[in-house]
Amino acid sequence: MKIIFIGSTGIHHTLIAAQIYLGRLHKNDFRLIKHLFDASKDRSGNPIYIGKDGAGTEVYTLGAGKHYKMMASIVEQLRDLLKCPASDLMVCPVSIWGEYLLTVLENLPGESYISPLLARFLMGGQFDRIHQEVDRIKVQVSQTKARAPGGDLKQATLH
Amino acid sequence: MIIIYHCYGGSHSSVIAAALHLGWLSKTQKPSFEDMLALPYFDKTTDDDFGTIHYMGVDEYGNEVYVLGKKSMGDRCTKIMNGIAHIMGKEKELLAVNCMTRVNWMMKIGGFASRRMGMVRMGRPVLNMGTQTAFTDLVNLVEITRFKAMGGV
Repeated sequence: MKIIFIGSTGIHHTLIAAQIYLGRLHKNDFRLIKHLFDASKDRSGNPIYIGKDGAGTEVYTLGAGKHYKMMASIVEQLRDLLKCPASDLMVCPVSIWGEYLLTVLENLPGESYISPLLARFLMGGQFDRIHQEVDRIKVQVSQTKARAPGGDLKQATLH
Repeated sequence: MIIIYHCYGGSHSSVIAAALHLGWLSKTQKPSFEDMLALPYFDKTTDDDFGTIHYMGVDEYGNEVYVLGKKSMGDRCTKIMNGIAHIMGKEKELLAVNCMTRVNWMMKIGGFASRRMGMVRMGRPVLNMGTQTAFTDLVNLVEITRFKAMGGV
């Protein structure tokens, strides 16, 4: 299974969410996160591979600008057109207050010192909110896995 | 293969490109505005159609052709769709084509007036002029796409 955390950028709050999902981030300390604020990764348009969890689920982030919710719907339709089951690819929008400001910060020229500082401030104050979103997504993921062929249907109905 | 022509609203340039691809419009003769209006989705979409991939038909090689309105996402939409196909291992089954590179200002203004402002009587003549002007560019885009779909570089 692949999970894509999609947001206005793939290198800020979505990356935090991915790290929380993978169990690599437990507190409001973003110093050692790979790809954080790496705008070149985001501009390529490719989903950014973050890692795998214990169950082999691959986790990606994706930045799609201010129309990320529309893009999430497009990705799901594309998945269906390419005949991949919903249990193979899940798209999870992640939103925080100030998310559109992050797209502006991402596009500031050069190695701006202000962008990471402001971005940290925006995200740090909403760490708990991001954590709650991830907890909700984990429930969705386990339900989706349970409903997939070969899954445990009892797990689906429990939730 | 799945071919997705996308533009701002999925209502004008992408529909013309898809129609050219499927042979519904002649490549050698500019269509009349009535011919264009007879096409599905042409200048008929609403805000709800943004982000919806609409099926148009199948070409003579079995490629499925779709259109999509992607608002102001630009070429990022192509990159993201290609990236998604890549991680699913299906990059050779998808061809996403950005039609906005062939859209002129008359099409933008006419399309905006007709679809966003609801000024159909004012927007459509401008849209018609713009589409007639851009027609050969769109034919060129479709020819390149068909070549790529056949395995060309």
